[in-house]
Amino acid sequence: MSDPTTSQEAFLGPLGILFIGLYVSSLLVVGWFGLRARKEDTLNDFYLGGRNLGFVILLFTMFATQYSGNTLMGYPGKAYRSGFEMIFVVASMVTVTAVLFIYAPRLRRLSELRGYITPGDFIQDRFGSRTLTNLVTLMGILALVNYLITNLKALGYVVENVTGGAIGFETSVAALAVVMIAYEAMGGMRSVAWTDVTQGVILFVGGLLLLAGALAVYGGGETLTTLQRERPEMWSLPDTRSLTTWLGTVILLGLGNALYPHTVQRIYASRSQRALQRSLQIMVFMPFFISLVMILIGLLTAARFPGLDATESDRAIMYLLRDLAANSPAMKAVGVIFIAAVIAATMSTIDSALLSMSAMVTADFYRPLRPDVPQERLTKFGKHATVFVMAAAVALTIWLKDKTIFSIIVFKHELLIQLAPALMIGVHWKRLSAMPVLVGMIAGAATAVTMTLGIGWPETKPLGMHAGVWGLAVNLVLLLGLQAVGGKGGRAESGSTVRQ
Amino acid sequence: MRAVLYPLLALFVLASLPWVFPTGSAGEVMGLPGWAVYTLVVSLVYASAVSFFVRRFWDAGEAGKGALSEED
Repeated sequence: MSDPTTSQEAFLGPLGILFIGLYVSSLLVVGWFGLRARKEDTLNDFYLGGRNLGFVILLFTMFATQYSGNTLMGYPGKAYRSGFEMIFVVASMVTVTAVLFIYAPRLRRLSELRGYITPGDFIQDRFGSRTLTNLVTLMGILALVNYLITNLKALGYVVENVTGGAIGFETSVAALAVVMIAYEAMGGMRSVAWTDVTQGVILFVGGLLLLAGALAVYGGGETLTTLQRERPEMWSLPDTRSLTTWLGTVILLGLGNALYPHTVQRIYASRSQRALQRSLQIMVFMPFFISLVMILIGLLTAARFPGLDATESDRAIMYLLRDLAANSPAMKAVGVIFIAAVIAATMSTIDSALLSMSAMVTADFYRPLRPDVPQERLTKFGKHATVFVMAAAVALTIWLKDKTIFSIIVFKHELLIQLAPALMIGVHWKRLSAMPVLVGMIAGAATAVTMTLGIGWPETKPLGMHAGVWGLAVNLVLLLGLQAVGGKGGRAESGSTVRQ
Repeated sequence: MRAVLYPLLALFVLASLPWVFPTGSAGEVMGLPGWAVYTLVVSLVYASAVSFFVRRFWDAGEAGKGALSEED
């Protein structure tokens, strides 16, 4: 049996590649059905599916979008490197729903009343400041570009690895990007949400099957014994400074994931309050079926393939698939299902981020410049913007190929959580005015960026806490202070609805 | 009533990390690190609480007038 960590053999044969090809083609068919189901050529219909996502579709589209290539490829690699500490991430994903509980009900009602398409629509309607709206949109786009890159990167690794290099990293990233642009341009949110149902099921089943299969082959007890022998340090509780860093990670991931523009878009797209409420009641338990499962799989790889470096550990799960497949045809089938899950989930995440970026560029940047342009031309502009953004993301992905995935994920959240006061406090506190929010956000982002890069600060994580959390503290202190001395309250001037 | 739940959620976030265990603690529960099991149990309680809050305390605010600002 060949060494799974050095094998260059293709995991997928011609049949497997055909299976993946058929799956990818089926997305184009779904895109076409999405186009056929279109009721009107408007931003509302294209970007929000006519605000008609029911409980089941909403649950799966939130699930498949939130758990993706980052979870399936990044988490096992991080668990390989960090050990049981990675279990702290489960609380961060529970926190995502807790944060949504705080701001989503009221934001959804406002979006229904006033016709929001993007987070920027709420900010503009609520605060009446174009500067603040542009800043929020720009930060959202930066975060999503990052999100696109991490997922495209995961996609490239998977395809290259499972085809034994027959389809290279660069080729797979570029080809799948073209497919995603095509089906998204046809069906918009409907195509994205409909494919998410299938993708969510495959994602849910794929992870669980792989864990069950690996435990059946290696044995849970034996794996633990091996792990304790190879990596005894994993059993020791980290020191208080490390726990503080993990607390920062929980805050970063919990707030950041709940504030993603595409998450906000799904709040707007829900058919009713009840549909959103029911989907969140279930969503909150998903970390135990995905995040935790992938962490346990990462620990299994640490026991099975000791001694991998940081870059290799991100690929450890692929080594596991090869190793299991060599044991039995059944495990080979489980491996194929898991690969399908990775590709499905990753593509569903990318298309959601892309749709959201397209919406922001169109509704927040282009529409204010050309207020008289009809809806169909706005939608057309958004589709062109999608192509440009995707091309840039593909180029960056290829350039960042050899950096570890998890570090990219964390950096993105440092900026994204600076949006929390504008959305979470702004939706509840009617007297909050634009200036304190704007100043707080700029100061928070500047703190997060300079501290992360080590510019003007003695260390990048003072007291062990992430730069983004320090930035958020600065953000909040300034917001509250400035509001107390000069806040005038409410919207600045316009106050007109954005419904079109 | 709903606002009272926010600090409670923050407490859950804090409690999900095993601060109460001494640094270097290596006690085991079913072969797993005790502090890791603690974190999982607290996270499950946290998730159950959030699910209950979403079901019981979902509040979209008042309709229409006053939705955005005091002058609205």
